[in-house]
Amino acid sequence: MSDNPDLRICPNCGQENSLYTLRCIRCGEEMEELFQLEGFDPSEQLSNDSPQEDQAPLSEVLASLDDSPLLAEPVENHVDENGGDHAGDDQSSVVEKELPDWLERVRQRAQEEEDASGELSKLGHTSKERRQVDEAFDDILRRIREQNEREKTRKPRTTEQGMVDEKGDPEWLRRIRELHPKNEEDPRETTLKGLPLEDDDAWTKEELQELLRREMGISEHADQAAEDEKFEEIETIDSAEPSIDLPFQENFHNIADDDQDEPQEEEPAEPEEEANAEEPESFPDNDPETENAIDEPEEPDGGLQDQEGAVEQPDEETAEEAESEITPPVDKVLPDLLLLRNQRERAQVLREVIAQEGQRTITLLHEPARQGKIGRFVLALMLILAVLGGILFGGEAGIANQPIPAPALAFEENLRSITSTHPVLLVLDYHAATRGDIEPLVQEILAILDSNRVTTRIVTANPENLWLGETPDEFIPGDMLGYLSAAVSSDPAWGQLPLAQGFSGDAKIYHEVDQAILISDSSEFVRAWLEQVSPWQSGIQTSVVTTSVSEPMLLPYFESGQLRGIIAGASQFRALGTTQQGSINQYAWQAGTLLMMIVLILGMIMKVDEDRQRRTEERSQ
Amino acid sequence: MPPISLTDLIAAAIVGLAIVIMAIVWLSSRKPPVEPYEPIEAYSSIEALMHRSSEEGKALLLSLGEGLSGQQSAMGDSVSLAIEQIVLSRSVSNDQPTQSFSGDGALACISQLVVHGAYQNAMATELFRSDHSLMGGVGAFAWMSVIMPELARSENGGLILAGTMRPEHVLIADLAERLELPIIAATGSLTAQAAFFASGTPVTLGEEYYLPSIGKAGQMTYQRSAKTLNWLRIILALALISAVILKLTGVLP
Amino acid sequence: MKQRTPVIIAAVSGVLLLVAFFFQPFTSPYLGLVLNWAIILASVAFLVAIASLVVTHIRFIINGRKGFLFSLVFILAFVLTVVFGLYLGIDDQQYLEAIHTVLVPIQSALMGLIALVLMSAAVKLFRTRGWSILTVSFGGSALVFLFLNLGFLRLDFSEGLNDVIAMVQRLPVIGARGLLIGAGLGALLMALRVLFGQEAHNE
Repeated sequence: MSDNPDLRICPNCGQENSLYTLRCIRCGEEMEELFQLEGFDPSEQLSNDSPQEDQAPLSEVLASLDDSPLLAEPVENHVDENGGDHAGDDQSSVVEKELPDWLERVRQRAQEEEDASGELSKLGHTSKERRQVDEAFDDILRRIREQNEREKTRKPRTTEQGMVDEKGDPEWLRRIRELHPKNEEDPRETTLKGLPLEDDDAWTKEELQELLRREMGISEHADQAAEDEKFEEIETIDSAEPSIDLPFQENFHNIADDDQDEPQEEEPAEPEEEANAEEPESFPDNDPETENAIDEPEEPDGGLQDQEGAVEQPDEETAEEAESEITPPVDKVLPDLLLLRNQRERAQVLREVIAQEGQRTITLLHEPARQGKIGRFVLALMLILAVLGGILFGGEAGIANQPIPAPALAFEENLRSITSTHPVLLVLDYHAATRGDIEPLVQEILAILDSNRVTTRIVTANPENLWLGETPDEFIPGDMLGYLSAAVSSDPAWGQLPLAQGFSGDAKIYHEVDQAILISDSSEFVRAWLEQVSPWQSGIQTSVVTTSVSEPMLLPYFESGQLRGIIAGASQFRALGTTQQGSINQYAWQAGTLLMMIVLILGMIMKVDEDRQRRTEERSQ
Repeated sequence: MPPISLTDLIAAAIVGLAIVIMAIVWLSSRKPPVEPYEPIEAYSSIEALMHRSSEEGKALLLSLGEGLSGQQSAMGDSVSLAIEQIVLSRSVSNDQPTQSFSGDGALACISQLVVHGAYQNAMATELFRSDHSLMGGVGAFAWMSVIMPELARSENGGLILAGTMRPEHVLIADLAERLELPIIAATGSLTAQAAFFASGTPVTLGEEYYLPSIGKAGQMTYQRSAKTLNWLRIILALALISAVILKLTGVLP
Repeated sequence: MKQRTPVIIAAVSGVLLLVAFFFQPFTSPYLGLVLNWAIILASVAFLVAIASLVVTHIRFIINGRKGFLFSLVFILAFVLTVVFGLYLGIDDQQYLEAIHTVLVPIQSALMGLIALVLMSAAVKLFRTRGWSILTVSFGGSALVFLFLNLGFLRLDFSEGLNDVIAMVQRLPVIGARGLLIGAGLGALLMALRVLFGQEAHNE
């Protein structure tokens, strides 16, 4: 068993399970120890029985005891009524000589006392009869076990004075009513007989009396004081009953955390209570005379009247108590309804799920957009026209006169300073989608390096770069891990590292390199390089060719000196000191940028207009 | 071996400080806080999306990004797996199984282990199939092109993007919007966060991505980590301001 | 205990690698070996994932799952690429040209779509997210920097104004620093949680 009395531990896997589960929730093993007969220990039964005797029915065992030579009697003393089968009389004389004292005493006692084998063994001497006896006995045992099982499962309910009362009200409903007693200010309406008006399905005093009498088995007149006390208790509980509450109201639970928010929600229930308070009169069951006529025809009416009078006085006393218990705190809930924390959380989740029913909880991106598909088509046309206009009407000089940012100037300066003494490592890591932004720059850079007779070593770990632009000299397996492995590791004494065998050329890609140019469309790649590889190759100066999207995230690295320069996108082509256009018409680029600004401003204006219209509609409503 | 520089020492000091603050916060946070931090909007949306897909009987799509084994640009981004584990533990018994896509081979294999584990914990291993978790593609665009046709299936209840992403993946958000499919993005990539923010998708901003807590799952860890992060930020901000003042006054060279 | 074993292994591996990085003269060959193992494992996982993908798509075709035509196209492209790559070799120019011819237009078209998507997102940004400090600053800063990067503004006549513009242009750097520090701290905390086993998630 676990420390928590509500849980038990599976003997197979150690998982905690509820008391009433039949099988373990984790391993599915049957919880054999669950059902036990009081006083019946199956393990003892099994251990006591020898393997041979397991199958032997009781009658045979008893019969064999009779047949035992140790207990054998002389023929004249043990003539069985049914002419039972006793064998081995001849052996008795032989055995007698060898018997120890204690056995003699046992035999003597057996002679004096009645036959302890019982009627069953006497009756079932024949095999058929024995079989019938066995079956009957097994049947009895089975019924006993089933009854015990039923009682076991019902056991906690019995402590609550019955799961379902005579009227058919379930226990949970009774408990709900206890949590929501009637309001103080509600005037207590009384019936014609002077009894406080109760709910339509509440117990009447007469019914309670009858129930008590039946259960306690006491007479009408005797122990009346005790009944009155009990009746007061029941009355106290009964008077605290609220009106009929549906089980799915929010405050029917005993979850402590939620009840703090609940008090204001109880108020709408009050009118229901008042409304329901008028209904009980229509129910015939509330008529005590009818009830008594049905249930207790023999009961004299006088007794009821006496009890009614006796009840009225304690009723006043208990009414005060009931008023003080209108809102019983949660901790006064009967202790048998305990929730585990897990169950409490799941109940909370269920409540949230139910609360979200019918609500749109995800801000769907789509709305009944006025723009629709035509709006997107118009935008696309505008973009295409702007770009085309830039190309057609941009003039011969396709390079716009844009300011060159400092990182691009620094890149160009660094590039020009590279000498032919050491090779330059070019690391490719871009996609086909961004080649338009990167490849013109790469070609220009390679041209500059060629003109300075600088040896280049082009590597890539991105398979796409095998067929984009420049063909790399080496493919590095493992992407960033491969670069890191090449930067960190040195040749071990026992030979080569496994990855070195995968290189077609020299595995030491950083050998004699003092400049590395990262050509990547991802700021994440450059950051990973600077954070992982650069610390282990601190002699290598790094510069970057990237897209304009990634440039802002790399500027801090340039400011801190980790990058020698950044050139981003075709818009900074002019930084390389060339007058050629490249593959991008920069007037078209400018037109597109201008259009983007216009669209952004348009979005703001549309939002302002929408808000104004909504306010106008609200005012008109 | 390169010598240990001042930068390395500062980095080690920051790590040590983080460990100390974590320990202090962990020791002082045994009980649930009186005023807990508000849940992160994107992760709350994931929880709501899980509920909704469960009610509607539709499948959840989960895209795990592209960064785990260093095959792609980001290294060690395992937050998406934590999110997958939480989502699967709740949605394993849905009418339609949750479908995961990865942009990385190792990520796909580990994702399949996570999915299998979720079914195992629910004692429903017979419901597990290997195609519940697939590698979508070997690169960012290939992975994106696999997800986009999947969005068009009618039995999908929503899409959760979790992991390393690029700004170009805003196409997925746009397609989801046009198909009226709820989409949530949880990514640590700052440029992708900006793109998804512009598209109107619920997105984790900044370091929210590294504080995964969906519903009740991971709440204590989230509260403690958020508290630790706050203290770290405060201390670092004070240190930076002090350094600026010292530099301006000439104390620091 | 079953759930703690992988956590312990992960934590011990992480700590060992960290220590190995700091004591590199002694651990350099072993560090390289471990990294090689990781690369080989990742590559094998990659192959397994590819095989799983192919098998899954074949199953989709056989079962006639909705959208199986996409699976058919995928299998066809995969088989052709693998067969010709093995037969011709990846250095073959015709092979590279063929792939180039397919890959570049597709991805370029996607990039064009992205431009259009971002434009429509710009129109709907405020309608979707409403007015808030975040959206207003987002939109405002986008406008300012788009305008500055156009190059229309020439302020050679005023040094002071140039300084102001230069300071405004440095604002993204400041913002990026803050974001990077925050993201770095978040990643650091995540890594520490993995090392200390706090990421072993139990509901």
